[in-house]
Amino acid sequence: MTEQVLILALGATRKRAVVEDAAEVVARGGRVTVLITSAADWRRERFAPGVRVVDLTELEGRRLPLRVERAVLYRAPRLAFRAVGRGRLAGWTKRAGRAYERRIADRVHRRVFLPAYHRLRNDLVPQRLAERVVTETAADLLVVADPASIPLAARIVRQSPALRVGYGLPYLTPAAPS
Amino acid sequence: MSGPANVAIVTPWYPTRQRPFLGAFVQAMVEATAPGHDRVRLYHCEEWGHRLPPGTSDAVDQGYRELIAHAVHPGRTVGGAELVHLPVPLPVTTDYAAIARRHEETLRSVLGGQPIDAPVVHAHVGLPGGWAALRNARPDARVFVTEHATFLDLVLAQPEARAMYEELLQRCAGVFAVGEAVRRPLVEAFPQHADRVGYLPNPISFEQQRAAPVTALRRWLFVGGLIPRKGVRWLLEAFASCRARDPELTLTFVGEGELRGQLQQRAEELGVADGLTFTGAVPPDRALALMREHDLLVHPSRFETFGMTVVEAVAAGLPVLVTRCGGPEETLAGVEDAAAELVDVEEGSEALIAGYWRLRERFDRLDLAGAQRELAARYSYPAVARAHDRVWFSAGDSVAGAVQAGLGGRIDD
Repeated sequence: MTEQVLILALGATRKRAVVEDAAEVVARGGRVTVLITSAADWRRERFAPGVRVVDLTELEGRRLPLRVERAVLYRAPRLAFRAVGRGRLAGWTKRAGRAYERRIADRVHRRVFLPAYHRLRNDLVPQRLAERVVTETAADLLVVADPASIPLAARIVRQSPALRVGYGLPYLTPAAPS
Repeated sequence: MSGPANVAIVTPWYPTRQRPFLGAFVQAMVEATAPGHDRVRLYHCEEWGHRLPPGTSDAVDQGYRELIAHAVHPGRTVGGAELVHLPVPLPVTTDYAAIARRHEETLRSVLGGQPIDAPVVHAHVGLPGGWAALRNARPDARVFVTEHATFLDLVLAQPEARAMYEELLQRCAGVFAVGEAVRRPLVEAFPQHADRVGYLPNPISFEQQRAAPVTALRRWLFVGGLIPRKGVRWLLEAFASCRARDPELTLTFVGEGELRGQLQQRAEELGVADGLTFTGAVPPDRALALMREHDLLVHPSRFETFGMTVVEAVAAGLPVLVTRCGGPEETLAGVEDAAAELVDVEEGSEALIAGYWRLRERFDRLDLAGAQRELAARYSYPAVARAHDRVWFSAGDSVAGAVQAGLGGRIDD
């Protein structure tokens, strides 16, 4: 049976170990899912082909309030600039569109929308999204890769006490004496 | 994997996938000493620093306690030793007393409140390793500590940490430094305990030989962190200068660090980028293999407590160009002419450049095999294992004996 491994790496503080653990699972024919908080923290890392990386920020972005915000703040203005920017105005509207996103949309998103969203949304949203990934993955091996992942791991183990869990692949696999 | 061990080893530093270099000398010590005993158990208390808000930090601690029974699995490591790997999650801090107490508590929680079941406990790094070992050892256990820390001055500058270190010195059976650079600040800080601070060097493997001896000093090698303390900027400048006279020179940087980007940029400016290789961090075995594929180790560090890389290089049949930065002048004592060129620590590349040409000029007169034999007598696995056994199981004042032996230059005389 194919080994299913879930690596919790929500804190992104031990990236090298995570990348190597994930590569080892793939190399030995298993399936591995790495759960991360944000792809931005991992942009310098290269996961081995076959490693499934699930980004909680991206998952949360699919929720309705964030989709509406993106439509209002980014998509609609882009369409408007495109409609206006034909012919000789094309270059000017392209630059204006970029400036709008940089100077207005990004700032409104960061300074106004996100704080309000985080204040109003249920604090359990990221937790529930993470737990959904855990359920979907149906892992038989859980690797806890950093401190930020420990609370989620404890909740998972409360629900599935028989699940094999450890703080790194080398400490889960019975190692032959070197 | 329960029950008593002959010896327990407690360490915050040990190679992992995240940091494959950290604590390679502890791994070497385990590999050297464990085969001589029925059961050696290593507790690797790996620090997992974080910057989480207090509420989340509390949840981490609570979750950690819940996971102990599920997530901490004894395994095996080098030399047949048992390995218990336990992360120590803690908020990032420079409060060494707080760090040591966290190690103590985490080890205790993993032990289920029971003491470490071994008559001898050997810890690495006074704070936190020694403290965690002392507070979790059996009342009848003899606790020893090997100090390696290059940041000992910072530890001793904090009143609470200093008081804890003094308690450690009072209560343990002996503290060992890997060289005078570590022993001196300890003895200066605690002169009343000078007789309790001895020497025990790190073991080095002399087993693997290179395929062919060095015939010219052209392939330079650096092994270590690409950080200011290692003097890598001056190394690059020296390399560029020497390469202007001999275009066949190459330089390999083995290691990772904050200066990598700057070094690459400077190499472009100096026009020597085509002669440079950056391998990044590699496991210890790979670093040793690379030593056997190069002609010269250049080690321009500003400060080293022992300088393990330098001895490893001689063991690999390499001559070394090294600064007098604390450890190396002790470890290479007696073999300087045979295998090394020592230069002063300077904020510049001139000493390294001059040192390189001097070494190259007298290359035919080096005696690398003789240097290997001499250093093997001091630092080989069997030599260092015997030294550990003497201090662990001798009835007398083993620490004072180790001090004398260390001063004599050979621990197995």
